[in-house]
Amino acid sequence: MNLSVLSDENLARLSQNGDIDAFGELLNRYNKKILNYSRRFIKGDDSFDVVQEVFIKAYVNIRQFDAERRFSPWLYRIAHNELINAVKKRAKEPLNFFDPDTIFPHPTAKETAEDKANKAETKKIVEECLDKINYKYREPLVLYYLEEMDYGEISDILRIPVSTVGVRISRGRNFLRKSCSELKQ
Amino acid sequence: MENEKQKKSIEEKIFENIKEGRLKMKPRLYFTGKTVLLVLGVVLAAFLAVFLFSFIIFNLHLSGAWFMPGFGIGGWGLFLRGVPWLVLFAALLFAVFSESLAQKFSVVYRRPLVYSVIAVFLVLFIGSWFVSRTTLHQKLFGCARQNRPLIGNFYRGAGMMQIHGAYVGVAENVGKNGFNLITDGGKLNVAVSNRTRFPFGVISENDNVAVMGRASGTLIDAAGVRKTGEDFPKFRPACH
Repeated sequence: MNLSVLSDENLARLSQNGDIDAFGELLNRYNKKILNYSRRFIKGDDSFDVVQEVFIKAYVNIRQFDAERRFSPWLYRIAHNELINAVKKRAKEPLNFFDPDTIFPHPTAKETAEDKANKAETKKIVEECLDKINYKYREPLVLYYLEEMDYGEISDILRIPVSTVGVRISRGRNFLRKSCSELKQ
Repeated sequence: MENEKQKKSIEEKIFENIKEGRLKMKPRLYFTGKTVLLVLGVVLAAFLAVFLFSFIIFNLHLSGAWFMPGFGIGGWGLFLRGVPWLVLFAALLFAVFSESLAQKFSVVYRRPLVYSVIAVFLVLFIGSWFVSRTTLHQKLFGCARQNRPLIGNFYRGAGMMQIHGAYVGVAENVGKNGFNLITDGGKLNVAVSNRTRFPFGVISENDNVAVMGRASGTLIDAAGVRKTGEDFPKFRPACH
C-alpha cells in the first residue's frame, strides 16, 4: 500500500491498528513542522528533545485520537503541552495560569473575512518579529498564521475559549505590527 | 545537514523503542475508562454540591434563620449568623471542582468561563430547589435523631444549631398580647407589644410562624412575627 497518498486521519486509523509504517509516515510528515513550531519557543537542541517527546506521546496515546476529526490539531495539542513543560523548566518568563480574557465573551473576537484577506501580509510580520512578543500571544499567532489552523482548532489545542483565541490573535497582531515598525525604524 | 541527522535520529529512536517493545500504545479501554471516570467525577461533585446546598436551605429553615430577612437589617444579621459557612464553603468547593473537570470537554472550554459558571449556579440552585421539595433531609434528620452513625453526626449538628433570636413553630392560643409557640424543642410563650412588627400580616391559630425576638427562659419578647407557610412537624419521621 502506498502510504503517502493516504490522509493523516487514515494513517492514524492504521496506526491505531498497529501499523508502524503508517505511524512512520505521519512522523515523516510532521517531524519538520513540529520542529519549526517548537523552535518558535525554544532554541537549540532542546527543541529536538521536545519533538521526540511529542511523537513518543503521540504513539503511546494514538488510540485516544478520534479519526473522524482532524489529526493535525490533536498532534499540536500534544506539542503545546510538551512546550509548556519545556518552557516552564527553562522559564525566564512566567507562564500565566489564569487569564481574565477567558472569562467573558468578546464581541470583536470572531474570525473575519478581513483577517483572512490580510493574512499573507501579517504572516510576513509574524515570521520576522515573533521573538518580540510573549508566549501568550505568540502561540495563537504561530498556529493561525504559520500553521494555518482556524480559531476552533486553536481553541482545541490551547484549551481556551474561541473568543479568547480571537482576542489574543488581534492583540498579538497589534503588538507585532508596533514592535516590527519600531524595529525597522 | 545537522538538522536532517537529528530528525533522522528522532525517527530511529522512536522506531527502535517501538520494535523493542519499550513504547506501547495505551489500549482504547484506558481512554474510554478515563472519560467515564471524568463524567462520573463531574456528576458526583455536582451532586455533592447540590446535596450540601440543599442541606443549607434545610438547615436555615430548621433554625428559622431563613425567615428572618423579612424583618429588616436585624433579621439579615440573624440570617447570616444562621448560615453554616463551612458547609457552604464545601458546597462551593465541590461546584468549582465539578466545573474544573467539565473544562476537559470541548463543549465547555470552547465557551467563555462565565457561561459554565452560570450553568454551575443554575444546576446548584435548581437542583437544590428540587431536593428541598422532597423529604430527603427530613428523613435523614430523623435518622440522625436515632443515633445513626456518619450521617447522624452531620445532621445532629444541624438540629442542635440554635440561632438565638430566631424561633419557628406553630402558633397556639393567639391573643392580643401574645401566643404560644409550639416548637420542635417545646413550648415557648411569645409576648407581643406595640413595637412588634408583622411584615406579612397578622397571624391566626395553628399558623406556622417565625418569630424574631429576645428570649428570657421560655418567654420571648417578639420584635417581629411572620407566617412561614412551612410544615415543621415533619422533622420527626422515623428512620427506615
